Amino acid sequence: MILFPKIVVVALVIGALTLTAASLIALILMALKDRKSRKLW
Amino acid sequence: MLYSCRVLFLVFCSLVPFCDAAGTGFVEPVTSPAVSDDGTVQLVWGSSGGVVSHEVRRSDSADFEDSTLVYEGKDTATFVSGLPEGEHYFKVRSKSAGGVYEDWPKESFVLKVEYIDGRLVAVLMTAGFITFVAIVGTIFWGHRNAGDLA
Amino acid sequence: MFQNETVLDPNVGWFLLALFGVLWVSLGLYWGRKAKSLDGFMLAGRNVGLALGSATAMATWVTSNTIMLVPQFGLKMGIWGLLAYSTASFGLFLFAPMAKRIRSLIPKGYTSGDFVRLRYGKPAWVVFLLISFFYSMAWLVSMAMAGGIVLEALSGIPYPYGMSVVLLVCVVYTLVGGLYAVIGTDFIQSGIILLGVVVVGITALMNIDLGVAYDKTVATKPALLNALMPVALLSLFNNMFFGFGEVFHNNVWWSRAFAMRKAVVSKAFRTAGFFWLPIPIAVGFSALFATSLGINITDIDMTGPLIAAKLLGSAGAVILFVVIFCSLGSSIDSLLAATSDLIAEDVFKKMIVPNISDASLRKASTFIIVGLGVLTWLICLPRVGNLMTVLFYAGPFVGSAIWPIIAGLYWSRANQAGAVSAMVSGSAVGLYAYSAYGWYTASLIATVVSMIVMIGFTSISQSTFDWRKLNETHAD
Repeated sequence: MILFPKIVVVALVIGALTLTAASLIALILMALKDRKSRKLW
Repeated sequence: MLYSCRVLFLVFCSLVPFCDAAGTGFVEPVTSPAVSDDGTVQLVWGSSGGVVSHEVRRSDSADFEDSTLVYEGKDTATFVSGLPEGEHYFKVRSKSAGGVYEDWPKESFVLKVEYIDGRLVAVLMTAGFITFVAIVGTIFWGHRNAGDLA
Repeated sequence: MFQNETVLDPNVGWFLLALFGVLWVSLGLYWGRKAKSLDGFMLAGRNVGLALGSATAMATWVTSNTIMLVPQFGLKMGIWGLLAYSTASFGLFLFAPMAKRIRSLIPKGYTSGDFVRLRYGKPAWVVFLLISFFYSMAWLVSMAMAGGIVLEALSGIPYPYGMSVVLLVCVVYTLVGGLYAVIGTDFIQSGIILLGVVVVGITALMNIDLGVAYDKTVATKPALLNALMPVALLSLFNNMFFGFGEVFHNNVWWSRAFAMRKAVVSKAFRTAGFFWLPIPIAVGFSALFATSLGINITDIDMTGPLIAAKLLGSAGAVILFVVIFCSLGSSIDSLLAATSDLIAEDVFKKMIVPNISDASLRKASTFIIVGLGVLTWLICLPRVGNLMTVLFYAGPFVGSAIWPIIAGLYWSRANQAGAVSAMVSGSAVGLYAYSAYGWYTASLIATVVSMIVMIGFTSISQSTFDWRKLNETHAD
């Protein structure tokens, strides 16, 4: 059985959580920008 | 009430040849040996009044030497996963408040893990990969060439 | 069944349902003031910006299935199970250029059905609509059921009541606010979902030493880290094509393509893809390492709630409850709106009352939304079937629709005979594969068969399609 290396698994988990947090921040910033330029909808 | 039902069930099963798992203490899966193609099994065992803890262990040999703990606690079920190919033996026992664990049952529940035929996997993976490339390629090239209606 | 009582008190559960229910309905009423016209009700004025567009695409794709099934994938199939699930985001990435193409080809379009009817003709359109309705109902039902089950597991609110309240709230705010309400609430729901996933994930991380957990998993459950796990590898392409089929064919995504401003439509779907990509791993890794967390999974359907309950206690159970309610709402509202659009535009207007005015059609849509809600409720009430079966059964159908859609968008020689044959043969063979080989082959095989048939018919075709025929408006 070939296993995923430990470093890969750890990187995937930490990377996924970091990316999710970054997405939340990006979403809020994008909305503020659209609201400022009156392009929300 | 629950205890009498369990006794009746076990008596019934001892008279009926296909209820192989009955003597092991597990109520699910019903038959032993059971087969799994993905290394998983849902184990359910019985309980009765006064029981405070159950212990489930797994061994890769029929003589149950060198076993690993699967679960210990009050629950009467556990989902086991990640088992490699081969035969795996499970046993369960209980203890009451202030008591010690009873002896292990003689019989183990047997799970045979046989992964899906590797050739089927290879064929489907190849077909999947080719199809994936075709889908991405169609969209990518179509997008590039679709300048006329931009 | 095998576990102690629920972590969340039923009264708290009811309170949360009431709180968020009132919030969504209030917002629906508020934003519904913009949804007077047909374009406003169905397509939010065709002017949705990048932020709201990205949020609605992401939130709609995060369903209660994502929160409930992902932990099961992690528990059963380990790392590859989670990576396989992540490939569902590829559908959003690939739909990005397709959405731009759709806007170029049918600038005044309303539904995916409009495209198939104009591109291929009526027989293909009927087959397509049947596939779409079957899948949409399967998705709606699976989510309503999942909602009822999870709310019961977390808080003890009986399944019939929880399921009914969730459906009722979604129906009401979709009814009063149309796609404005759907997209507006999706934005808030997407923020809550992302926040919840981060909070739960970080809490899990604080309770696990990943290195130690990895070693323990290697010792006791090595297959979960197997880089060549057969079932997981198979599910990789199956899941991917299921996702492609869902996104490429369903009016949920086409209505968003029509609703967004043309300049941002492609970027919005791409951004949504990036937002969605890490979620399966962020949600599912704790199930993979459940044993290291000291959590006993007694019932695989309860994997997610059991982990949340053990990790986070009551406070965390509140977070999970709210996240699940949001993920349910963000998908059910989209499905209700998009499916009612499809019925209103493609069945009611195009088949039954062709001269109906936009104002009357808008009114008809509201009745259709209620009808869909009632039908879903009736199907869900008896609680038949387990979660995976209900939705995965639709896999071969949507897989068979991939090639008719992409060929129809990009190949002028793609034709009706090919489209109909591809959808029918793909669905049939895929269904057979479902029972003969297993669920993890059905969408894959359906897509492959559909591809071969579509390419075959296209290559022998002599005629080419005039793209200008797609430029239909309601005045025609």
